Amino acid sequence: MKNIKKSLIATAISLTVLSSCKKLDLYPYDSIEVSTSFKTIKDAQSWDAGLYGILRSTAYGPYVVSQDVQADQLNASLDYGNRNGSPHRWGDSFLADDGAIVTAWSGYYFAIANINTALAGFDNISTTGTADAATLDKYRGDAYLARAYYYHNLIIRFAKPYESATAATDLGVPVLTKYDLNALPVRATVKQVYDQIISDITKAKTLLANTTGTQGSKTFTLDAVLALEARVRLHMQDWAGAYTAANTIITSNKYPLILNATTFKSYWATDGTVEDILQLNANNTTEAANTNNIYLGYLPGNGLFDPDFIPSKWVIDFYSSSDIRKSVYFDTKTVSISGNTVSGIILVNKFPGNPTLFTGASTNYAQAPKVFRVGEIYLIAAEAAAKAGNAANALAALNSLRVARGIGSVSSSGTSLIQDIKDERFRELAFEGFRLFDLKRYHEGFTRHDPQNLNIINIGANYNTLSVPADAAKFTWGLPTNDLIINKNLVQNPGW
Amino acid sequence: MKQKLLIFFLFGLFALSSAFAQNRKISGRVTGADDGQPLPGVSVMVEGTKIGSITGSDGEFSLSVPNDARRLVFTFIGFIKKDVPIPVSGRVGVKLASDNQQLNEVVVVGYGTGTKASNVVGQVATVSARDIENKPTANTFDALQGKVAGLQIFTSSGEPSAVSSVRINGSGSLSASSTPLYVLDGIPVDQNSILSLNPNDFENISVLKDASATSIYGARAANGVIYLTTKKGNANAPAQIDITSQYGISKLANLDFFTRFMNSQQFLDFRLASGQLTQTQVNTIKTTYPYNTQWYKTYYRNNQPTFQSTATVSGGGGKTSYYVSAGYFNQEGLAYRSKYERYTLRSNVTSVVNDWLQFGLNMAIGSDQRQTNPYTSNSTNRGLALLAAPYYSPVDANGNKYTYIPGWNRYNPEYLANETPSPTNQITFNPTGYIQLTPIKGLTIKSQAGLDAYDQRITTSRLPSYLGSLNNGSLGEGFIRSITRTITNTGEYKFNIRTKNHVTLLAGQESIDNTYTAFSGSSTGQTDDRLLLLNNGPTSIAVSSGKTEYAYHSLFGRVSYDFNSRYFVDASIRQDKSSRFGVNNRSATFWSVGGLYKISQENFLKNVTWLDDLSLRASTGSTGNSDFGVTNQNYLSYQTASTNTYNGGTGFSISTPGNPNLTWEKQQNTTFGFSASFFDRIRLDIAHYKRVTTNMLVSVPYQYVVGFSSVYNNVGKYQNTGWDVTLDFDVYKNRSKRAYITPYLNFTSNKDKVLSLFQGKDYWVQSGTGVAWVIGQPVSFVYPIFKDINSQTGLPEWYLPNATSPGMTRKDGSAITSTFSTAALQQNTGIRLNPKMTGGFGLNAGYQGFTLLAQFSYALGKNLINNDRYFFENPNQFVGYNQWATILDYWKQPGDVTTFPKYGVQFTQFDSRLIENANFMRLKVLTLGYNVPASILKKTNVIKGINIFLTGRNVFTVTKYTGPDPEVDSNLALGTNPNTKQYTVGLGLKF
Repeated sequence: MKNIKKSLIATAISLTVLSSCKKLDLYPYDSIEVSTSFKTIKDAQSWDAGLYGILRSTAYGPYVVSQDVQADQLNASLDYGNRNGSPHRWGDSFLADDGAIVTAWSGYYFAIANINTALAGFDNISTTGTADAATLDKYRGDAYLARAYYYHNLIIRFAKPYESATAATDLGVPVLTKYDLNALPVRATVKQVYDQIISDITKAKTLLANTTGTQGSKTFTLDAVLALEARVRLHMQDWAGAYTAANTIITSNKYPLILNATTFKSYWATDGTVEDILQLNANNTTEAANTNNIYLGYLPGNGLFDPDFIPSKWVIDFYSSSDIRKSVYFDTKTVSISGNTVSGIILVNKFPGNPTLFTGASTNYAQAPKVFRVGEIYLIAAEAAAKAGNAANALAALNSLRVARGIGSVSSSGTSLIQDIKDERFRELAFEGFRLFDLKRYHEGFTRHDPQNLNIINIGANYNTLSVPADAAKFTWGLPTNDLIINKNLVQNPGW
Repeated sequence: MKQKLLIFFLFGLFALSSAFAQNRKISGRVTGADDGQPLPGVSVMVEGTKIGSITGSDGEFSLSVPNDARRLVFTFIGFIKKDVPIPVSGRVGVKLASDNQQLNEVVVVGYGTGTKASNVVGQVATVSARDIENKPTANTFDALQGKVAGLQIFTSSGEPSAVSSVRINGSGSLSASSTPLYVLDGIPVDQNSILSLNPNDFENISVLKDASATSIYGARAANGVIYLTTKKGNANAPAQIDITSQYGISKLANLDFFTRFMNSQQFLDFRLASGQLTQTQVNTIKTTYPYNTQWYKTYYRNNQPTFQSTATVSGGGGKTSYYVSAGYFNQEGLAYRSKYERYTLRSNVTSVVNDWLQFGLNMAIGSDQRQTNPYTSNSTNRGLALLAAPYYSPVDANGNKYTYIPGWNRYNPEYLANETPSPTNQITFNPTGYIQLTPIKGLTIKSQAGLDAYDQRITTSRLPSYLGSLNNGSLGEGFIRSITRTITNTGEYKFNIRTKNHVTLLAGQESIDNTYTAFSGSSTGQTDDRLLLLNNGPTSIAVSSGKTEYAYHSLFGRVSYDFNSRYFVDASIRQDKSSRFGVNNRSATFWSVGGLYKISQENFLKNVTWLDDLSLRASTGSTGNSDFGVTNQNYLSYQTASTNTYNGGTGFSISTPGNPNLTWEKQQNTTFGFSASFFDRIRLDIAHYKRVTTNMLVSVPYQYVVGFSSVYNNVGKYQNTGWDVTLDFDVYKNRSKRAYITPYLNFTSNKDKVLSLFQGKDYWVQSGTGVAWVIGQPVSFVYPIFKDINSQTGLPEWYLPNATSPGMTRKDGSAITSTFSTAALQQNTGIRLNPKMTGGFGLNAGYQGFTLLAQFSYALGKNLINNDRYFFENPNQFVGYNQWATILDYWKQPGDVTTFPKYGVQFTQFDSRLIENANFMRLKVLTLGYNVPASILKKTNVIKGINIFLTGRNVFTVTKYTGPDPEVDSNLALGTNPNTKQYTVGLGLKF
């Protein structure tokens, strides 16, 4: 009897124990298997939203700031603490492994990997009804357009500017249109990359044909397709194509130019939408974007400012006093830099932070990123027309913008018209990440000069007097060494 | 599941097979030989049968025995086994002599009922309570630094809640975790749970090093096993009450780093001479800021209190023994908002229900409050705060603290800490219970279940009164629950074949699973310090949650055999399955074989009187590693998409590239060793090990172009070989005066070597770390190698690397450059990452009531990239920030032989100059104690013992390393919150 009891107890214990085992097929809770994520139109919607989430995370911050500190408009404050120091100083310490370069390269290619996955997966989604099919086509259009946008951002950074004579042989960037972890791609030529971009834009144009543009649209529209097309064709020196695309947007009159300083101020400070063809959604919890936070350095402790970078005096002087942009893009502040308290220093105030996006009492510099805005479109139209020899169309576009901004019209021609357009790009698009790649495209060098106050900035030949010849090697960024080491098919750019 | 059921069915059969008959009754009483007190719980068996009983609380027993029974065998743990003839009539009276030796030496490791320490085939080193108790740190392992050969312990931070990095016989893996498996009373636990336990509750800590000891733990044992056993009561002793309290202070362990900075005069002179400032600017600064501040005194506190106290009651009566303890620990860190406060409770109860059933239940609860300084290594609010120019001041002319330090433009660190209170409260729960059946003699069936569980409450707040965000506070409240369940069922059968052949068979099953859940909420916009709840913040309201799980299912078995306690062999096997790996690669089998030969038992050595013991050991076996060493490691085999949000809608993006073939990292560990003791004075143990790791879990580099720069794969081969040596000897002993002097010495010399990598590469530089894996070499630093400053040009010069294989070292004086490039100049510096040797030495001594313990630890061949110097010896890069006075030695004119180049050229680059020798020796523990003699205490009639002791921790440090702390266990150190030293006084009372 006793032993039977013992056995029963042993069996009872073991059965209790065995019933509580957890199985081995465990799946994550915060993510799903990609293989199961392309079943319904709702899945496609999620991939589409995901693409915009990635777009928002690659819009501002290092994706804009890095090239602007590398260009000629800014001086490094004494307190900049070597943040963005390497691109600013050029020279030996600016390496292909610099954070600025790796961030752009890896960020854009990560986005492309997602797009390639989504485009392949969309083909597995069976739609019921034409409405769903149309929706899925819209998502495809979004993906193609985003891919074109990323490849364009890559090609202007990592390859020589497009020149029709050499584009077929100049090295571009690797083009991947399928997700493949084990791919060992070669660098496509500049022409091949642009062909890919135009091909994607063309597909997007068809797929988004019914997605009409509106002011401040948070997703891609036909106008966004045109805006990217205008930008890309300008870089390709396809003047007619660039003009047509730009002029289509302008003549739609959907995005009127702002005429007064007050409206223009709120357009920047509080994320107004009047001139925006695409403005990405942001909030202060789940949808925060990167910030362009190098210009102010507000110190809540004493109400002073301690910026990383300060605009040079000649840059500010480039704007006339009637220019409504002057008081919006800049503001006069008292700075406290490395023990010096200096009043009357003019700082970049284009990205002061939108109070609805703050997470504290003072600014976190958060803004909803503007990806395409009509100011650039007028300048593309003007430049493309001027280059094509149509001065009248060029002046029409240029003067529309100039008059709106309060600096009156010009009636130049020939090279001085081209220069007027370049100057206007300088003024209108300052600190939005265009300057360096414009200089590169123009084949112009630069010399930094005339800072506001020598006592609060880093001085020397690497800093406030840096001189860079036209077509200097580091206008074209080097490929991150990580990829060169793993993929022997990749070739480094000269000078890195 | 099927196998497990089968095992239990077999157990059932065993139980049923025991038959018995009865004829006559025998009764008697068992008492202790020492004190004559009755002994309850003693096993009484009829020799050669399975008939037996257990003595009651009065030491009485009675049982029925067959007519042909001849002898009774009395066994009781802690006492020497005794057998007596059964009298024809009358009672049996038995006195059992205590065997403290045996009590201390039974080792229960690797499942089963345990073995005498001297008969363990595996390489196991044990540290007893005396070396663990009463150390002025919450971190149990810190005090073991330098105590056990092969056990490398580094504490990388001076935070009171820091845990140590622990390695056994080298780092077993290139990139997966090298942390051992911790087992607490049979239940695997996380090292962080051990922080929440009271070190004074540990009876001993065993370090399992070789395969013979670890393979039975299978897939998680590749880095060795640390087995912690908590104290138990003695069922045969009267209750004993112990109260120990300790109070002291903490200070910075080493000030050298902090006193290398320039003073105001030096700094301004330098800034003027280098052209950073004009004379006018210097004059302005001197007028505005006429101070000279040593900033470390602002950023680190001094003489902060540390206090701990433990009260225990232990004893037993009848069939039950108990150990109950309560503990309190409180230590302030030196950085602001750095603290650890812990309450612990433990209750260990064991009861022998009857002759075939016993159970035990250990309950441990720790509740702690921890805060760590939130300003990281590269924050100018702590880690890099010493960049502050010395002419600024944290106090105004009247000595009042500034809230906001003028010029430096940073808040006072104390103010920052007070305005951003962010306590974490953790409640750790470590219960384990078992039921053990002995249905027939020699057969033990045990079911054990335990938890390693904690709840953590994390608050992060910013008071509305904070000037940096006035009237706009913020609050985040987070909750984490982690529960690891372990259920183990074992059956063990011990039997003899012809008395001299001893066999133990063990079979078992184990299931481990973990569920981790977390959620948090936050809001901002609070306007009043007194109303700081989530609902007081109207803006930025956000919530989040998370959940992860993993599971292991295992089966294991072991055969142990010895002949005449002279030749020992054991073999083990274990099969593990885990949810962490790809569906097709979930299962793995591990095994070991080992042998022990006690040569001194041989007849030809019996006459060698000076040789007390000589044993040879050898083992080989496999173990696994399934700890990737990263937090998100449970689902890496799947290609997954995680979510983001766009315009209020859920978005997908690829979060893990996935690898369906992912499986265990495997290790083969082969060990040879011997132990010997001579002249009753000298004890020596030497072992040689070779650990070869294959199929390593490595985040293999991929191109950014494909979307992911790394994907986990099983690749490569890596080897650690070395020697563990332990020696201690009695220089002097005199039992009558209770006097002894026993020095000890131990060390491990370890050598690692990369044997193969991935993608056909012969080297791989881990981007941004300065560390490379080079085939045929130890894990090494790969950096540009600095030559010197050219005395003619004032420019720095570096050696050019071998262009095709930077894995080689090329120091060719004719191939140099002054153009720096991390990528283009990197080459193998020939400097190893992992220490060559770690160990310790010390002294135990006593005379009458006095005891002295001095415990030194050391590390040799340890190297560290001193990233602090990049900030503190780089005046062009960090203009206006204070620097070390060393930078004054810079080149000014041709012919100058200097440390630094001419001004205008970057003084310090990430090159071989920053790789510093971080060898160190620390007086880890120094304890002087005095036990008040029993003769005095007898008069009190109450107090049985008084112990007064002084303890110091990290009393002094010898190092050439110039950063804050050489003990940091990493490739690189920056802004370390350095280790602290403590001086304490303690009092222990026994009742």
